Amino acid sequence: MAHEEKGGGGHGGLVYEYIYIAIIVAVLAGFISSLGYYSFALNINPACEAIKADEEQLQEIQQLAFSNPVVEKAPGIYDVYIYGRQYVWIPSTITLENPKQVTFYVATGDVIHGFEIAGTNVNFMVLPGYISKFTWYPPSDLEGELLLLCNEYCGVGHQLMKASIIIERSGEALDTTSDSGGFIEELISLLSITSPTGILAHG
Amino acid sequence: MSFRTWVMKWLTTTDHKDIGILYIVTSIGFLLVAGSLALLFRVQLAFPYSNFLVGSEYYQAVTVHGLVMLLWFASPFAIGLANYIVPLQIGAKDLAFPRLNALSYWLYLFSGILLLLSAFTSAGAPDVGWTLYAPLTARIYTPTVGMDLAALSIFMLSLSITIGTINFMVTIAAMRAPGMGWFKLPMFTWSMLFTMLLMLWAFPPLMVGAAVLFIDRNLGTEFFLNPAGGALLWDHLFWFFGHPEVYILLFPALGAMADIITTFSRRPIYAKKYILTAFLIATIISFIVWMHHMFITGTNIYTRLFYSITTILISIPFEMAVMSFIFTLYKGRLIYTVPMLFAVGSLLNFIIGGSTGVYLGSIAIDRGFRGTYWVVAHFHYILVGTVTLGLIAGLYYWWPKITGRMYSERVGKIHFVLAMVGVALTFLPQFVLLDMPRRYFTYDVPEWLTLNQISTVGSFIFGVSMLVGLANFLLSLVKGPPAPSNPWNAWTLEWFIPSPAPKHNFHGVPIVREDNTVVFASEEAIEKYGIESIRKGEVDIPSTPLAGGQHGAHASHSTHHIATLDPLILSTGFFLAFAGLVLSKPVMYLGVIIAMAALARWLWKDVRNLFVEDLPGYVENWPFPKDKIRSAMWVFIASEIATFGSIFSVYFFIRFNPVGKFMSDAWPPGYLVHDVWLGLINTVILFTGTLLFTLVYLGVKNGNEKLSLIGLLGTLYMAILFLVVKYFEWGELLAAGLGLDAGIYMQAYYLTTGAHGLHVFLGVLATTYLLLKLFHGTLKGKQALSEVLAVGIYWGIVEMVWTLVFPLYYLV
Repeated sequence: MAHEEKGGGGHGGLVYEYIYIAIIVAVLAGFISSLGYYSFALNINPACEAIKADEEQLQEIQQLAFSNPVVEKAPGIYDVYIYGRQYVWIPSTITLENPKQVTFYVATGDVIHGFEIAGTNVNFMVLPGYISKFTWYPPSDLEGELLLLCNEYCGVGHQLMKASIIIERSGEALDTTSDSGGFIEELISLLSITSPTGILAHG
Repeated sequence: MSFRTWVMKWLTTTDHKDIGILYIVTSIGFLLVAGSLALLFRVQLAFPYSNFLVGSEYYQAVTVHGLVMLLWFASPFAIGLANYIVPLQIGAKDLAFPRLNALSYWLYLFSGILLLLSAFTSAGAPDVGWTLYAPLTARIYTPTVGMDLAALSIFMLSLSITIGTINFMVTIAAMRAPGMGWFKLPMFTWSMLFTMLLMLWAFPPLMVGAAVLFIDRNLGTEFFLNPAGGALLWDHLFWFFGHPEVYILLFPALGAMADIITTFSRRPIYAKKYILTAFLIATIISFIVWMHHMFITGTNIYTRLFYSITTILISIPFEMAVMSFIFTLYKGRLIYTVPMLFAVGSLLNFIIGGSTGVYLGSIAIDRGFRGTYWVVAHFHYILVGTVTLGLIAGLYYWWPKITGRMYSERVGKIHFVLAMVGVALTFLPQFVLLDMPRRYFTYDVPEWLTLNQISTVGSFIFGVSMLVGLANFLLSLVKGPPAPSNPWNAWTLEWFIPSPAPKHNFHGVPIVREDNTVVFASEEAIEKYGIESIRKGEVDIPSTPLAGGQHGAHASHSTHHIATLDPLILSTGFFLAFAGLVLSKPVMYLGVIIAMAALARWLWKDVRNLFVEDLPGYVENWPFPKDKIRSAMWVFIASEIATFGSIFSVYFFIRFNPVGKFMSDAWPPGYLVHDVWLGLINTVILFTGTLLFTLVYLGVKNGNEKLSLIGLLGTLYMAILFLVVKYFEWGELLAAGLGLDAGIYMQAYYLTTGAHGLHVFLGVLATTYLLLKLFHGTLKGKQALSEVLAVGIYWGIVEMVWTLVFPLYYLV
């Protein structure tokens, strides 16, 4: 039977462990506080909300998705209503001009779907009985056609469920000053997949 | 041995060693099935425009691959190793309940067959993803009968695992050799103990979820279908199981790695107390992290933040484990045998796979990774790279002990290299594919094509490595050199006996002395000196020499090795009943009859006290001195708390979630719907019955048969009366139109009272069993007292659950 080894040093021979634990705790404290900083101060984590909805409210979203999905409340501030069901997104094309802030209201008609705009940080689940509300702040240089796909397996047509989000930018309205500027923002946009100029972006 | 005898041996064995081998062989069979499916869909992903495996068939392959690998390969393989090794490591002759052990195995085997049976139905296996998200699994979206078979197979597996959990926990607590204190247990046994703790509380929610899914699909209830959060309910139930499940998979591999790394570094595990505390903390925290699988559902952000913090915190214990392994290796005299290579390789993979998981703990980052191949790569790196390779390391390590033969080191090293290369090639590209969504059988992004193809090549290399490993093992069985009892010069108890382990395990009673040496004391020595003095080293007795062959001197403690067909027949009955439930009613009736007959035959043997066995009198006094039946019942109660806890959670969720408050229009108050007086009467009846049971205890204790008879008859009468009253109550409700279609509040009522009624019925069976024992004259002695206490504890929990059911359903 083996007995415990006692190494040299103080604290009953466990100096190295205590040092190691201190390092780990410090690193993790750094991770957790950076989480808080990014989430709240830098708004890197726009909150996604699932709002409980009854039949009426879900019908309302469905109607809006069919009739008037894109509503521009103020220049660059949009409300977009999308209805997803096996295996389509309605509407299948959404055009946004110079968007600064886009709030998606998404409902599902049948099973759980996933709503993802590829290459951005828009990724949330759409649950039956809830309206998913997600506010997206597109980077100011993001433009072109983006793929909206279904991220949560919803049946045999899951891979067909896609739509397009087209972002048009016109020269004068381009806002080149960012709200919270500086080195950290640039670093994040360089490292993150939220921006098409980021290292890991595809396409 | 003739062929027929050989077959009967395997069908009737209850010996932990044989059952361990059965588990290992069967789980390797399931591994080959699920692995082949993986190769098939990897081919499809390498050629996305082909029609190789598309549509529903692709998703069936993916779903069955996931379910079988997790539930029918990885854990059972670990359970198999544990079955063989844990009793040897703790110095026991067998597990606490050998027949239940056999039952666990046969239930497991048949539940796997039940799942694979679904692939042969006309619509095929379920194609909903292994996570079985609702409402896709509801009948309107997945009408196939395969889905029902899958739900039932999961239910059956949960039964098997719960029984196994009870068995192992009682064994490790109550059947250790003298002097084998808790802290002296080897790491593999400790990690199996933690695994069992996790299983105890993780599988009941899955079982309840599978059962509720089944009644949703077949009785028209709407638990998971109702638009007011049904999908989220499944999410919660499933992931409350799903998160501890990953640690259930991980701990056995870590334990095997620990044993192997210590043996081949010639050093004990570094900071054992700390690492055990770390594992205990991880076990506890693992129950409060499950929502990190639900970060993008959009639930309350502060709740999600809490789970993000706990998720990041749970990485600490595993970092400590890694640290401990590294520091054990450091300055050790390393010997790179095949098990050591696999263990160190697993450790490396654990570092890669584990750190990629920490990122997923951040909600912001998870938003980008969730549902993509980053997650797939992360968990496969751990499941294949650490768990599978770690368990293979364990198999290689204990192979000489189990089979008595050595394998080929050279072929083993080829296996290792191919396996590591295979894992890296398969899953490292998938990290780079972090933009590619999961569960797509086709895609048209050119950048992904090369990466997917590399991944497919890697998966085939890994498949080849598995075949090489199998060849190594088979070759070793046929012409491997015979193994010595301790080929590795290790120092845990299983290496002190011949290879393969003899039928009676130990020659003599293993006593671990205070100076950490072991002697095997013969009966005469124990009688002469007493265990305590031997243990303290006051008397130095020679070990009973290891007999040259197993057929030599007979064991000092006679071991009754029970051979019985009952577990097999009972499991067959269950299998036929479940399969018949959805496929063919006559088969179902046949199954029920077979199961009842097998159960009766089994219990009749117990009525006649055929297997009374005193616990060897040297078990530590805590928690339950020398009473494995009572200990087993307390462990069972813990799992019942999780089961009824899940059922009550379902109730709370569907009542509270839609409107955010308890009292609403959608949910009429209980006293308006249910007859409060009837409920109250039932409460009194049940309470009386439980109280009357104490008479049984007093009667058996004092040898007063009349008292026992009154107590038993009284409890039986009260329990049956309870059921009769409940029958009339349900009848009245149905006549008033308050059936399952009356609304979710009635469905919740029937679910809860139905589950509770089932438990009352089982209590009636248990009390009848005791009554039969009384009439047969065997309700006396220590065994009988334990059984009476156990049944009394059971009635206690039934009573306590009812005291929660009554106010929640009848009064508010």
